[in-house]
Amino acid sequence: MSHLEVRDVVKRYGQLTVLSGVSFAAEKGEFVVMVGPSGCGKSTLLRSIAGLEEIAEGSVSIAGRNITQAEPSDRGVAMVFQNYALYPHMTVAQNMGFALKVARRPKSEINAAVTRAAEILRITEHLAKYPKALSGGQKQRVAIGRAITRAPEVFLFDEPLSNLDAALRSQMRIELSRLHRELGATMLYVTHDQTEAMTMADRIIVMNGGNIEQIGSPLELYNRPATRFVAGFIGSPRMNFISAYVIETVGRSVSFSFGLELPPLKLEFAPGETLPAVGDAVILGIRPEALGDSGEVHLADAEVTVVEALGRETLVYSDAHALRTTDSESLDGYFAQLVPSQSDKKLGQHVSLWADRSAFVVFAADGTTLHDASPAHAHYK
Amino acid sequence: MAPSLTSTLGDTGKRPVLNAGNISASAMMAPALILVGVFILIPAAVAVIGSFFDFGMTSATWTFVGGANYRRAVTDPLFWLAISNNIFIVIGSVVSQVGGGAILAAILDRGIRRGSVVYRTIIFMPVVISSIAVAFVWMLILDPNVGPLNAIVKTLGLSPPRLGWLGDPAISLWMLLLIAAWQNVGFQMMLILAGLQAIPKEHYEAASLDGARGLKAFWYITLPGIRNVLVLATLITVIGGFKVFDLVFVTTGGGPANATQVLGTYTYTQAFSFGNMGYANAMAVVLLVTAALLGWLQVRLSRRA
Repeated sequence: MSHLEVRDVVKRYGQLTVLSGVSFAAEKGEFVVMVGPSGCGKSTLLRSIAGLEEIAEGSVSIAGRNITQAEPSDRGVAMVFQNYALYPHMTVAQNMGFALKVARRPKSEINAAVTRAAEILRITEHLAKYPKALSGGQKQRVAIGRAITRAPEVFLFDEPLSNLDAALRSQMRIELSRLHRELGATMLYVTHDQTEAMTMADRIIVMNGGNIEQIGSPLELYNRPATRFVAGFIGSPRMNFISAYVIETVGRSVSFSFGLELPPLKLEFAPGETLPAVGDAVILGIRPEALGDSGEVHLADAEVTVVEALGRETLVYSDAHALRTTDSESLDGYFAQLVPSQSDKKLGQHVSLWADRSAFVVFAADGTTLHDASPAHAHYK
Repeated sequence: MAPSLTSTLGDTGKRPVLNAGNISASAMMAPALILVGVFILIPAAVAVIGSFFDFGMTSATWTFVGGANYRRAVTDPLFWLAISNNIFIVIGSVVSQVGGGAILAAILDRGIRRGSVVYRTIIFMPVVISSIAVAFVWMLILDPNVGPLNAIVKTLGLSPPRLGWLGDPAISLWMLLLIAAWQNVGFQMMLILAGLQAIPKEHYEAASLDGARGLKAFWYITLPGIRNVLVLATLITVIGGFKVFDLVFVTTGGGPANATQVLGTYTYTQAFSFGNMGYANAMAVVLLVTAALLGWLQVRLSRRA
């Protein structure tokens, strides 16, 4: 049995279903990140596990104990909130020892737990201060310390870094990973930031519209997205999506057309992959880093419309006129392309978009993945 | 508000020095300072000086009597009655206004989802009415001949007090307490409600994870969260209770038989009915010092927040 088991959890607000039968499990010591866009239900799921939300159906068990009906404090969980939620009238030490004090533990035990947590988080010199005297990063450490002193079975983090500035955020990411190793604790972490998810997680749960889209390691999600949603959500800049339809299937090779005036594209489907039928509308996906000046397939000619120099690499958006990407979040149907900075693309420059066949992903109209790209494509063209 | 100004100056720990910025600041503050001077500081100074003299309203000469006026106050049973009435009103008001305000605020904060703004507005409405108007309205309500309260009590089969609600010495002070509470409870409710709503929901959530629910959450989260507001509300009520004048003056004038006599009305009576200006000044000074001490306490406590 897994350390944390969530089974068929349903949560409704009136008519609105925010979690429609969610199940997953986390092993002891695992760092699991739940990621997804706003309103996908990830925070609600975390709060349901914490006992801050009542669920309509389903069950939650921790360390083999069904805690679906248990009070929040009796679940063996501790939670770190986005806005810290430190008690303003208590010192750092009192904040961290509060749960033990409420549980009427002896002073010596409380002091020992607080001292140890403060050492782990390097906030010993702040123990006598009040929260208002601390910076955002220090407050977040105290909030984490408050969780550590309780020695919970499962740590729950609700977007803990989103109130911090970028530099502090990447520093805290590293510290949280270190903390996870040191404590060997089971951690469940909610974020909308895919960088946090990719860098810290043992496994990522991608959520969308109250459902789990895919669970997997960061690279699994990147290399073998189960759905178009995951493909678009993991990876920055986003994958380019192109509408196409199937014009021919011969054995395991499938030909796609983007339109009459463009050359068709033939891809080899691996054994076990579901073949689409002739006439099916599909979506083809290709990552910005897989588009280049050369390759096996010439997709289209385009004109550079936006150049964003990121330093080591440059993000180029180009308008292929005849071929547009189909994604509500992409820029005017432009193709996104990630190229090394020395390639020196200029605004208005005419470019050819090339790619290798192995770089394409094929999604069915309902969003499920029909054909995976080969992981080998993940290098600059 | 004057206290907050003092507290700002106090925080910097420095006295303002005259420079270009300060001169223009002084110019801006001059109208207010002049008004405070003419209507508060100078009369207060005159009252302090006058309390050491014996004189009437139209006296040509003031006779210096030293501390005689204060000695007289100490031996005047009516002075002590007035003070004890003030203390009764202070304690009664803290219970009814701060306590009542807290209960109303808690109900509006937790219990009532719909129409909370409507209730809030209705309960707050008396605060914006002048005390004199409130006093007259309540005199009508409590009138033994035409007042609706008598009618209601009779309909219920009970008998209203024979001397009238305000005319019966045994209950008139309680009636004043009721009127004051009706007028002011909305203000305290708003203060406390603002305090309650300033406590983030996450504090309660964190507390419930830490094992503090119900009474424990109230003790560890709610009470500390509104502590400063409660201190402020209590001090405002205490000062108001010592200063009370207009309500008593209009409804009972301190009667019946001094049953509702308070420092404010007794000072007025000594000054303008009996012409004992010196003695009235001495009592006014006692009231002034009491109010000033409480005001200082208010600034002290609110600064610690």
